[in-house]
Amino acid sequence: MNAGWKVPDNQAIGANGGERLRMIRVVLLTIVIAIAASIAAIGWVLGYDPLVHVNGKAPAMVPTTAFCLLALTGAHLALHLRRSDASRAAMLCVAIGAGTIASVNLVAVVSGWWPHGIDGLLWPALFAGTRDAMAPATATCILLAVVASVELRRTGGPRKRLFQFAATSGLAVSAFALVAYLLARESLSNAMPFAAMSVQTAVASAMLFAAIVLAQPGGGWLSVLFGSLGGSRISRRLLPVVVLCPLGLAVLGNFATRIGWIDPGMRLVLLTVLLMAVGAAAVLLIAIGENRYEAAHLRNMLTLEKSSEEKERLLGEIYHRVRNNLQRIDAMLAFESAQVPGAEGRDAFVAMSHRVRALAVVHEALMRSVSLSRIEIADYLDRLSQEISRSRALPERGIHISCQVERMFVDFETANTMGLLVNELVSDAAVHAFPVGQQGIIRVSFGRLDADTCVLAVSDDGVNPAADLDRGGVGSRIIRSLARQLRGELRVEVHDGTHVTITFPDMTTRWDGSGANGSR
Amino acid sequence: MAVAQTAVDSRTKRVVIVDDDVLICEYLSDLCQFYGAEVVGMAHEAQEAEDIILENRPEFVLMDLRLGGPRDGVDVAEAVQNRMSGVKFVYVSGSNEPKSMDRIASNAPHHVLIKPISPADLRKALA
Repeated sequence: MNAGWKVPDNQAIGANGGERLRMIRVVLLTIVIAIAASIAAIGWVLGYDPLVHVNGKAPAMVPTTAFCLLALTGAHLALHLRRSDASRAAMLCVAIGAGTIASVNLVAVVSGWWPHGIDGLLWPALFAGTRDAMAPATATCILLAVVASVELRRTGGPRKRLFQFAATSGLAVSAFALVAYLLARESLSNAMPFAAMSVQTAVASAMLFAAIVLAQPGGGWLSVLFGSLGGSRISRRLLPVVVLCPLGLAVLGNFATRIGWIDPGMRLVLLTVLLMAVGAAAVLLIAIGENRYEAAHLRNMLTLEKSSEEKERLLGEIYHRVRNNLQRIDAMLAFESAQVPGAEGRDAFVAMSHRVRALAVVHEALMRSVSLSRIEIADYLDRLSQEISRSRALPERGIHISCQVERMFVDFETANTMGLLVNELVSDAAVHAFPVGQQGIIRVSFGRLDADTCVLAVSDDGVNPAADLDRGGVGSRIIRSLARQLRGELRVEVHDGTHVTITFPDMTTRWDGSGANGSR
Repeated sequence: MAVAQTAVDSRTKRVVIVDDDVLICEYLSDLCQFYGAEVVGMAHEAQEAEDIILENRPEFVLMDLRLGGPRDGVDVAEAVQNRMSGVKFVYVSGSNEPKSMDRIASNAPHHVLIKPISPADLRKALA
């Protein structure tokens, strides 16, 4: 009950704990084999009676019981050491044999047809005049062991409920006999199903069932005991106390009565009071543990909440500074532009100012987005178009922007690049395609062409070509760079207006969405 | 922006600009003048802003939300509104996150602009 048992959860036993459990099983099974084998060989075959009847008149472990325990335990050891077709077949044979013997003995002894069961039939001389037979409780234990063993050899693992029921019931019946031997031997001989069950059988049977239960530490009640969480830690600490305390108190009480300190009535009172105290202490200890874990849980929740709030606050701060800096850049551009003579020079500053604002729009979209790394592209391009339209006073000129964008999420870097491209292309159309007084429509569209290709297009119905990408100006250089950034192919067609399309690989899979590998 | 004034109203609008960033104040001032408004004062912190607004009684205040001190733009606006009425507060905020927007909305603003602002939007706000 220490670090060795710490496992990730209730369902799994760590490598360390698993190794220790395997060792314990081997030891338990070996002891059972030793008990059954020595009683059969030395006790019955060689006739050494103290091994058979402990004090001359105690019930004996009859040969069929010894045989069943020996065979079942041997098959378990074989299956445990090497799980193969052979060991599984051996287990099945042993289970059928032991099951048959136990069933016949059970019926024979309970009905009274053969008071000594199969043993009496095979060796009448040995059993004449004795009360020895396979006790109904022993037969029941063997049948339960048979059921658990057959389940354990199933290829897909045992059916949990049936296995747990058989193994745990067997353990309980054996434990009942053991405790009875310890506290009230005389009363046991009056309880018919247990009357003929020997102390050796009770010990061997309890050990066999312990080994069987330990074969499935990840299932049933054992998983609670072996878990790594707080409740399991409390149960590991309390279970030995709660199990052993009543036993120890009862033994002490028996002793005290025998030497005359208290009479049986007072023993009952004392035992009851002490058991109440043990039970109450256990309940309170569980409550203390539970309270401690809940308090720790609440503290962690509070810390998490605080750190999440702090993160949100920092993000907001960074976001605010980005916007402030973009505003400063825009302000400085405006100051410079005021000093530039000539309309052409000022146009360059106006174009720069629009680029800065296109960058601001993507930040705004990012802050609105749920994921903080992916952006809903339809909403973003729509807002960007409105921003361009408003700041270039397009409605006043009778020019409208129509957006037809597929709704999908795009990572920040791709969205940013697409936004700058749309800004350049729409600005080109607004400036070049429509002479003064000319009205028209600029169409922005984006969507999937097929599973791995996307198309971004900006077209207008203006009378002049929107942009001459071969001219080598700043705008065309930016457009070409941005298209290359998207690993895209740029195509310009001029007929009834200008139609620019950029076909590029699907960006929803190209980047992992963290934005960490985006480059400028 | 040294172009002829294009949007001169019959009555010149008087504006006070409040922003803890001096550069942005200067820029907003240029824009206001370009749109024909008269900038009667500029402030970069809360108390200074309150004093200048109360002293000059402008028609519009371009108000930043965060002023780098314990009091923000809404605090200043409320202090002013307790002493005089009729001032239109146009908020120019660096963030549009819900918390900031809720704070601004609590003051029933005349207009809200998000940085970096579009000059056309400022012109509309001052209309």
